[in-house]
Amino acid sequence: MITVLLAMIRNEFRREFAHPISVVFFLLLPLLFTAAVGAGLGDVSGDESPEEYRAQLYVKTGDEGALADAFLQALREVNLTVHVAPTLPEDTFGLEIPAGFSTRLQSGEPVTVTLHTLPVESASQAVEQYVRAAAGRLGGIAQIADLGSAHAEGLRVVTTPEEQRAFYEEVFARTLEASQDPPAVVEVRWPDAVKAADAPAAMASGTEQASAGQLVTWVQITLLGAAEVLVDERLRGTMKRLLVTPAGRATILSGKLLARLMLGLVQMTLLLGGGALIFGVRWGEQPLATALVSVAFALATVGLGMLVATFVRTRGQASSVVVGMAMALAALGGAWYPLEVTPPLYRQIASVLPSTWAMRAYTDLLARGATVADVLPSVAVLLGFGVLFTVVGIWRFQWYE
Amino acid sequence: MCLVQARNLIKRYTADGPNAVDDVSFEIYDGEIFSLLGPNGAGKTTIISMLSTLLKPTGGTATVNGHDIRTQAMAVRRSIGVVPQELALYAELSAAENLRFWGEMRGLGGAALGGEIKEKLALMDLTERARDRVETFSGGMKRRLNLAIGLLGNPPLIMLDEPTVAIDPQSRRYILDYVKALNQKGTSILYTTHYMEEAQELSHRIGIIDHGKLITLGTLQELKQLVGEHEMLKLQLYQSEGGQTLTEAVGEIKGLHRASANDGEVTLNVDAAEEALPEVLSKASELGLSIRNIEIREPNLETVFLHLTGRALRD
Ligand SMILES: Nc1ncnc2c1ncn2[C@@H]1O[C@H](COP(=O)(O)OP(=O)(O)O)[C@@H](O)[C@H]1O
Ligand SMILES: [Mg+2]
Repeated sequence: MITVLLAMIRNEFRREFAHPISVVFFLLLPLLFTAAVGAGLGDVSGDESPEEYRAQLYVKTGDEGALADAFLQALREVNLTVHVAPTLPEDTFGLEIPAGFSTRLQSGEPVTVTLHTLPVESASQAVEQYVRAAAGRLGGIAQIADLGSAHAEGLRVVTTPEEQRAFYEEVFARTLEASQDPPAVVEVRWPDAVKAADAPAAMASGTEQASAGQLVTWVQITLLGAAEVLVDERLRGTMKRLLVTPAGRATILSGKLLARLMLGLVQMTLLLGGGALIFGVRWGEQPLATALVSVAFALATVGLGMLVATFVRTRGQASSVVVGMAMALAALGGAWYPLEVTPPLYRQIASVLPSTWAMRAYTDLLARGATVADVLPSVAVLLGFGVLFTVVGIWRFQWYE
Repeated sequence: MCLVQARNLIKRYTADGPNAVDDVSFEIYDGEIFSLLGPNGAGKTTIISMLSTLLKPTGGTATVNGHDIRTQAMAVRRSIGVVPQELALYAELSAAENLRFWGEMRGLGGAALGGEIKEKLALMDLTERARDRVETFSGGMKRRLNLAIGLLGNPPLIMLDEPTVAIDPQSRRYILDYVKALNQKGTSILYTTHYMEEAQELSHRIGIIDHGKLITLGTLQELKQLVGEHEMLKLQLYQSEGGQTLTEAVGEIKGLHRASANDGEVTLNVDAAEEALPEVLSKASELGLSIRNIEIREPNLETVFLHLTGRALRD
């Protein structure tokens, strides 16, 4: 059986590269597109100067108190463009400050602010960090002011609640002011070769985004090509000939799919390597995580190709469906532009596509150095797609006419 | 010994459709060339597809080399080589690469396979083009390669489904001679064709099939005896529309068994051609038909087919 599978894999590679032109589609075009699209995306996401990037944060506040104002100020100081609005738009970052925020904080009670974030957006982690930093700073100041006024009360410097309140606000305001120029600062230096993964750079750069996007796009064409090769064997008459060999049907179908999978993985490896060598893309911190995402995505897509094969009748149909689907899945899945620029309905549709999960996982790897554990949910979803598509595909597969 | 034993094979492609193969039973003995002769659509390919385990029979079954086609498909596949009617090749690969791939699919490999590839290429006179892509081959060369692939592994039974359709006379000759040589070395052959000359030249025994039914089966001599001492008289008319009229007009002639027309070609099955000829000619001139060519033939498979079905083989 191994001999047969190897023969089928070798046959597929030989046929794929029988005409040298296929190397253009397999490797050269994807790299050219990466270069071109990367240059274009670079402008959009402000890759060159991280300082210029300011995430937009909409804030709905139910509290007009001094501490709420101070919180807004603190948010503005941490590199966020803050818009106070009566309602929060759905498609961007939003923060809710509850009613009674100031009074509760003053009386030392815990308060919860709610950050509406966008999991698919590469900037979401940065925004979360900023808001935490601002909240932490505010909390620290509130604690100092609280301790200060308790102490003042103990010393009987203040007696009435009004005095107490005025004292608190005084201490708070001064501490806030003083903490704007912290006495001790940490300056982080990296060896030149290492790219700092600190806050603003946590966005995938234009080239990284493009590398992942083009990889997903072009590899999909190869892997969905499973549909084309199965139809091709049927129409050529070679499928009948395969089926009367002693190899057996399960082996033959596995061999065809395995061969496509291998082609896709070889292409992925070349594009991952090309991205790293030519464009300096760092595909995450853990090679195993990148490998898992890639293999799971390949399995899901080759399974989808097998399923498509059961619907198409002619070579022409097969190749237009394959290219059309690869393009549509790439566009919907966020391979061509970040999903955060799209409306919510679009994102909802996108979340049922394997390409979306692959892009999400690749973005996690690129922007956040995601670990194996981080990408496991995406990998699991992709494997789920793979199993689903393959099972339905086999069930629908007609062996002969 | 019996290499193939088909028992009441039936195939319906659709539940309420006609029987493409209708209750067919026959045997192929070890070492013989057995031909299925019949017009297009008779059911020849369908029978081969069932015997080679590509299609499940709707009814009946068969054993091949002692293995049941329904329950022991793998063993059947190991016992046979199939040469499909349509070319089944990878056009973008070379002849040698095609042979290697199909050999490996049969579980062959290593030096043995290398040797066999060389041998098959030489047998099919393709050695010089071994490294060339199949897409650059002529129709005849593709047919020979298609045949060579079916022979890989030297199985005891080869099934050839109309291997000479649409090729040049030299390639056809080559294939027919090769089939005979192969058989002489001990390989049994199931051969299908709609050319009666081929069946006549090659076969030890012939089954004639029409509309899915095996209408007769035997050696060439046995089949000819079915027609008795009849001869076949073939006339070609200048008027292509006159064939049918003449067929009807000669209906009363003494010693006529069958008459059929295919445009301007009239085929008569008669006791003695010399006796019938003058009458036929006078009927023709009465009808104002002029004759281009007259042919008298001894009984052959075409007369047999005509005798049994009332139609010429190439209707
Ligand atoms: N896949 C199929 N589906 C439906 N009908 C078929 C199919 N293949 C063949 N047939 C029909 O079965 C009959 C026998 O066909 P076939 O075995 O190909 O004949 P032959 O090989 O003698 O020309 C024909 O009437 C043909 O139309
Ligand atoms: Mg046929």
